[in-house]
Amino acid sequence: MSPSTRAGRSPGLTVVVALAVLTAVEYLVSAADVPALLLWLLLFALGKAAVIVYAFMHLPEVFGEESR
Amino acid sequence: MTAVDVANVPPVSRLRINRVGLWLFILSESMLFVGILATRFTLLGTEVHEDISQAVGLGITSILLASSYTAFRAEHAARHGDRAGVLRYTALTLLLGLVFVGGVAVEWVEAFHDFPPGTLFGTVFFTMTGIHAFHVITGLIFLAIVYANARSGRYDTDSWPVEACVKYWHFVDVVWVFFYPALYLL
Repeated sequence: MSPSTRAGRSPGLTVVVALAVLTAVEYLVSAADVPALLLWLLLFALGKAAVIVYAFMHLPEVFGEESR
Repeated sequence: MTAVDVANVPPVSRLRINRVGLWLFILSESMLFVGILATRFTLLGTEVHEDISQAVGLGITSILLASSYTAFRAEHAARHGDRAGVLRYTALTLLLGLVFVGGVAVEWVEAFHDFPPGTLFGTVFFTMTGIHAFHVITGLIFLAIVYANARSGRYDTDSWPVEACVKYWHFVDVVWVFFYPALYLL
């Protein structure tokens, strides 16, 4: 395995673990049938989408420094 | 209007143009899915069918999230000229995507029995999962092309096609992030 590949493992893993935790909490909140469930689910979905768009899809690259 | 000689555009600027173009495409695709979500809430309110399988929903959601990680690794490998990494993680993403489609197929078999397309919930369910699955299958075809081209070393110096394919895959994942609670958790 190349060093560059090894260096990329931690950031990606952190993101996917964060997504897994958010999904688990989202599921538990739904199962608990908390008040204002729709609002909570919307917040979880927006949070997960923001994490994917920022960390996995590299949105800042469109506005900032070029990188390959 | 001044004609632009595309061949003489510096590679870095071309990359930026490619990225902006792809984001505009993703934005336009988002309109479709926002419309579908709005339709779902207009027709059903906060209703979810009690027979929908929570286990399948959570399972395919986890698989799609995991595939985003392997897709990320494929792109990372491409950016660093690691052909073996691109092949390994593209293949893994393909595999996870196929499992996701298989999960949706299983869900459809149950859904045809529990809430057929003629019912209101069935119509919404099959429309949402069908259009999303169509995009997943499109992404799988895209990934298969990337895999085949990567084998011949086509992306050793230009990683943009891998990046574009992976960004599309992440977009499909983002759509499911909103569809999953709308179909299963309310």
